[in-house]
Amino acid sequence: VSGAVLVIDDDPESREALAVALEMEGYRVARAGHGREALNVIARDGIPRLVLLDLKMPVMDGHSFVAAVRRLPRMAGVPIVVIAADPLAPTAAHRLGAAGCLVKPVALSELLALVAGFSEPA
Amino acid sequence: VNLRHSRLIPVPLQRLPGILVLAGVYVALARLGLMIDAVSGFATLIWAPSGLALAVLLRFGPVLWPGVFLGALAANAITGAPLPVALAIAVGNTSEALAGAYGLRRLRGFDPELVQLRDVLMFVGFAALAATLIAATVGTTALAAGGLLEPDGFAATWRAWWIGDALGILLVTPALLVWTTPRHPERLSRGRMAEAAALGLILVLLSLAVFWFLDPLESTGFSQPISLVPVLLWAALRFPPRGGATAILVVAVAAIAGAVLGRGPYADQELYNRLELMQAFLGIVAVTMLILVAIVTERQQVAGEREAALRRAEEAVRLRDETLAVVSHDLRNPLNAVSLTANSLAKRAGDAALKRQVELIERAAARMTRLIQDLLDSAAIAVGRLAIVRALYDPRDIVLEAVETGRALAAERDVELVAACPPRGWRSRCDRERMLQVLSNLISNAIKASPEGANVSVTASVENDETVLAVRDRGPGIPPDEGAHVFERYWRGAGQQGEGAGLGLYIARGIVEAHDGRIWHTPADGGGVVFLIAVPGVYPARRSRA
Repeated sequence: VSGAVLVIDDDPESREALAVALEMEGYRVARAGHGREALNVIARDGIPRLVLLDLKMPVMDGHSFVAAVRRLPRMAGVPIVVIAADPLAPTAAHRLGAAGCLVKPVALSELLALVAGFSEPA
Repeated sequence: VNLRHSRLIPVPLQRLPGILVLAGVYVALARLGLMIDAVSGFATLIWAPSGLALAVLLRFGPVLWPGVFLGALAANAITGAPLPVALAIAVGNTSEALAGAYGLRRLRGFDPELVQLRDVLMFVGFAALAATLIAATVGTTALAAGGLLEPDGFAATWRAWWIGDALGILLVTPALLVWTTPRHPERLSRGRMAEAAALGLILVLLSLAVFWFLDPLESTGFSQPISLVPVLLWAALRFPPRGGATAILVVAVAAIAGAVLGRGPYADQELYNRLELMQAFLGIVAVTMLILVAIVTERQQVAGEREAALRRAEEAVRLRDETLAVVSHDLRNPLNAVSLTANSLAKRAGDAALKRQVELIERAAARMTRLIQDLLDSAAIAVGRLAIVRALYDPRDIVLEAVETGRALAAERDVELVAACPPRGWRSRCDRERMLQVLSNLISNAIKASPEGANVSVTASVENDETVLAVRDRGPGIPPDEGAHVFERYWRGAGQQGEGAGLGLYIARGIVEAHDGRIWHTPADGGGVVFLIAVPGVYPARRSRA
């Protein structure tokens, strides 16, 4: 799944809706339910082109995931966009050094515009 | 076998041990009291048994009255009264205790710790001063009838009897009651224990100094009993009710001993005068202390209740905010799925009917999103925690952007939106997103209120260092009786229905007030309503250097 958009979200409907909406637009999408699973997906399937990251998750939350990813040199150029339910997420995303942030519920047009800014569909 | 509940022993017999103990202690106290006797051999100036009798009947019930009767009978018989006289005196003393106990126990919510002002006043006025008239009158009459009293000694004996019983009740009953009433286990901190110990030590030493060691003629002033008042106040204020009642008793014992043995401040008086001075002092101090303890305790209770209520209210607000935050957070995830999927479906729905249905889902999801945001905002406003981030903006841009967001709704309702802005060149200090939120809300309200074909105007101006924004509709206006309420939380006008929880104008006011501004409405010339916002802080625009 190298070159896919990696969607990390513990809420199954939210995660699937993001993934399917992107797949409908022609993107390849990988999914993970939390940070630890996402690291496994990266280790197994290769480097994604873009990460869409929820913040509040069990096992390994968004903050810990970003910290872990910083130690992977091959992930250095991969943009991370925070997509979270907390209205204060933009501030947290900024502190994390994320490439962008959307607050749920996300409008499809916003999502596509943002994703397209980082990568054209494969 | 539990004897208390055994049917083998009749109820009156079960009370026998209590009655006998009471009678025994009564006799012992009476003998002790008669040792410091002053008048007629029967009436002492402080009759502790009266205090004991009232305390026991109050604490354990009037059914123990035979103990008082037997005690009084035995004490007087031992003292030398003929049986009929001793019987009469015992009847009088028992009636006094029974009357006092019944009177106080009849009070609704009577607290035997004597920590309510009403209870204290009743205790002093009825039990100590009124009920004691019975024993004094019956006892003195019995002595006179038995020939144990000189005719001219009647008044003095009656008076001594009455005051002695009253003082016995004032000094002894409170101490017995406070130490036998079970309290909530109160753990004294080390500091409080040290304070109580210091208080006790100072009280004992000072009482001894005043009533025992110091010669009033040589040490002028200091040996006055009044010098005990600060220490007594300390006990009443810091350790009510036990400290107060105990302190009176300590002082009373020292005062009685000193007066009887002819020491201390009353030493230069005759015994009778000494005791009378001491009585006056103890009576006044006892009543003052009891009232003080009651007032202090009642205040502490009120303060404690108020504090508890405040804590509960704060906890409730915190819980509500927490719930609201969690709920709104958890609602956003499913809402995200609904909204994204509906967007995605709408994009590729070929069938017009299907497309309209998907758009319905989109609109419902959008409304839910607004509602969640409104709930969060109104909760923040209600607790005064709405965060605004102020910077300098051209109000013109805010007006134009707000008008732009209203275009779709205006077109749908066939309403014309007109913006009138002053020339560029000035800046308002505000939170841009929040002001946009207020203005968009007012514009959307105005469009919905206006009939088809009407126009809604949005204007910005500068008046007296304030930025004034106005939105005028051509609707039916606001009924006079609703005018003051439109900014209230959850308010919805009588004829109003449809979307919204009645939070829009409440949030608008909250945002404007967070800017130290004002929001109000007034009937418009030519019909309809104008909503106005005035926000302080107008600055000239800095010339661009580019």
